[in-house]
Amino acid sequence: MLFNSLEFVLFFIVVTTLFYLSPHRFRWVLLLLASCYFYMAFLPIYILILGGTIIIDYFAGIYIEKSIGRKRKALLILSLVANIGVLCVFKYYNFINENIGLILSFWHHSNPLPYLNILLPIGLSFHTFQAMSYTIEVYRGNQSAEKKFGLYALYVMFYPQLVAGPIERPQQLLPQLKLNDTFDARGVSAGLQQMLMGFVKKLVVADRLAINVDYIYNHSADQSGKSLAMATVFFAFQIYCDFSGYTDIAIGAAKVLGIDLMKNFNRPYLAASLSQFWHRWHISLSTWFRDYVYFPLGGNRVGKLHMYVNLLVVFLISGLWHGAKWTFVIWGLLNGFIMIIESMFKIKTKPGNGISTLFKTLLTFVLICFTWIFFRAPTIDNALYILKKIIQFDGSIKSGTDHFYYSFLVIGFLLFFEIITEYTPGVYKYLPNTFASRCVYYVLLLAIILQFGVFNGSQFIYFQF
Amino acid sequence: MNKNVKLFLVKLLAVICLLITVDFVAGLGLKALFYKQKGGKYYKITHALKDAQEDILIFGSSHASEHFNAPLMQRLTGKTVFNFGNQGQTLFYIYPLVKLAILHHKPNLIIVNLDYNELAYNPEAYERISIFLPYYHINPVIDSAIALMPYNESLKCHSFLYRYNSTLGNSILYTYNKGLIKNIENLGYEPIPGDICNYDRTDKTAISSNNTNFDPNKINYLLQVIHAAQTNHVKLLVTTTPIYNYDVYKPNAYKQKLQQILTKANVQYLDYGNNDAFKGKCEYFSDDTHLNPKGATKWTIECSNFIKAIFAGSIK
Repeated sequence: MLFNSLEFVLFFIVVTTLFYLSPHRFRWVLLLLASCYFYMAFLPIYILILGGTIIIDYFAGIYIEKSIGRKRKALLILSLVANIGVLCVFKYYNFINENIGLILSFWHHSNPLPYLNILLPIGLSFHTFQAMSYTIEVYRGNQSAEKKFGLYALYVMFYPQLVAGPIERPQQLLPQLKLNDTFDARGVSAGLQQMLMGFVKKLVVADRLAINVDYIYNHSADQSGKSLAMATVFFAFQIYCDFSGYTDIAIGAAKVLGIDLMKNFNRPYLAASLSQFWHRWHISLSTWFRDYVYFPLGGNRVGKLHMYVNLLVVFLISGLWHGAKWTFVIWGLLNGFIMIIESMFKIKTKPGNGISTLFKTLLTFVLICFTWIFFRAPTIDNALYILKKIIQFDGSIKSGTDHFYYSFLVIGFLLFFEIITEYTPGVYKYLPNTFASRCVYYVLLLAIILQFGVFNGSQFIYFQF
Repeated sequence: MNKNVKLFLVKLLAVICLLITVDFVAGLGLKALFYKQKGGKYYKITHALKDAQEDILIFGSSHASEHFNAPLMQRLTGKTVFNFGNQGQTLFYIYPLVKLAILHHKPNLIIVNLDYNELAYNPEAYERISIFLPYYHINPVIDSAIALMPYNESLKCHSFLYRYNSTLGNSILYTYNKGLIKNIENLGYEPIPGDICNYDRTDKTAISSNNTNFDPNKINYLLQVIHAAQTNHVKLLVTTTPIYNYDVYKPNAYKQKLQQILTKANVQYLDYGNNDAFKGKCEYFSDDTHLNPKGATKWTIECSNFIKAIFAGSIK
């Protein structure tokens, strides 16, 4: 059940209505049942896998809390192995197997391991990381183990953020699931407003850009360098609006239910350096890697060379987290290398004068677009071909679709609002804040969706991870 | 009920009422602008619906709109011609349009251009039926095509704004942009310049497969096109235009099925997919399957000769 489907709209209305009609003590039960239904709408059988890891982590949490010393550590490792094991089987087995086969073929040996014809459970990387966050925090003593199995299951399965985050921390989400808030009209209204913005980003911007991007990238051999460069810029905005649109819908849907999820995006393309970009892009994943990988490896408090290795390790894992393909590995490593170069040359991220900030922002955007080529291209060869064509910058722009002008229009509007919000946030307080003005605003957003939205039911890009 | 909840529901109702009003009023405005278009993809449908009077009507995808030089064909055959080809379209577009055009006018010849894999199931083909959304409830044949679409389109069409989804840009461009309106002189022909002589073709691998997934709806629509032409006593010619690298799109079960249906119905089929005059000649193509104006001219001449032979009675 995709957020951008009529089914989800109906599901959301029914669940929210039942939620507020239910007695407070049963609300979490309703949310858990709804979350199970939501997950099973994709592939019902996979609920058993998710259920299995939930059981393991639930008991691991309880026993970790009760244990001390080596036993405590062993239980944590057991839980992590179970989670990473599921990830490995479903996400990385065929990738590893394929590469083993390639290596063996080099010595003229055939690969004895079979290929597994399995589908990747939806949002596996997201809920696995959220589950691991729980056991690690219990191990560290920052979170007490949840005694109610159902509540823990809801923490992992909470439907708005189940399939693509934000990856929540137990300290943030679990207490909210236990609260029995009464109906807060302001919260519900704010949540609906954020959901609407998410739908605008997804349906009007991301899916519109996707039409051009998909056409040009899928016919890269027929495209000029200029067309491919344009498609890469379009992809940068497509993936941003696709993922941040999803996040807005998730955060908004949770807010309607009285639950605050963490902010996941903060105008990332206005970052003046790549390190700043990673503080603004997929914040819940960046902070996850910071807290559970980068800091334990030593973070910044080690020698320079060690720190650079740490950065590379984090971005290598980040690349692999996104997908079991060499293109993602290269994408991750490229980000790591650029971060190292930034660190080596101590590129300041604090805003300087207007021109230098503009230059740094544009340069950062170009570097990000460069890395996105590897993220979007199906193979490394194709990515290198596209890169070569872009550097040649030959030919003319041939869109091949009639969505071309809309694409520039929607990017223009998006940038306009992002720049206003970034540099003159106070401007919004001058706007009228009456019910009538809000009403006009909501209807305008809905009308924009109905007139300019793309309703082809396309999946969210990050659902595949 | 809690007072807060009551107030919220009243406000929500107000938003819904305002939305319905805006949807209706804006929909009317969009509709008025929509039917003023003098070119572009929607103009072709409106033309078929309202005032198509040409002798030869050409239907198909971009392989029709970019390959059939209608003004040239008009000069060569001495018949009036209009090219209804629209990018990315399939039989789901062709049949309703044929049916609409035949309703008020009996042409001398209908040309339907089909790709080899036209009868294959392709989910995108269903999404592209959305081109008919602005014409919802105008004719049952259009409504039945829309009913084939996924995502409950018939339900969404209750919104007037949604019916005219993404049409505002087209409506403005093809109503007020004099340069684009001029294209109407091309009689629906949309040439795409450029050639592929400087492009690397090495990454092209064969895409034909032994796995076949026929679309029964498309087969039905093809049979309906044939039926509509034959019951109205209109000559029907099915064509497949030249392909640069025939080996990539080499014949498969889809082509055989297409040929089988056409042969059984006694329909003329002009197949240039593997024609030596075009195959491998980069100067005629703007990509693997699309002819550039030079290629389109050559193809139109060849096709016009065939049409003249049909009208002369030497091909039956």
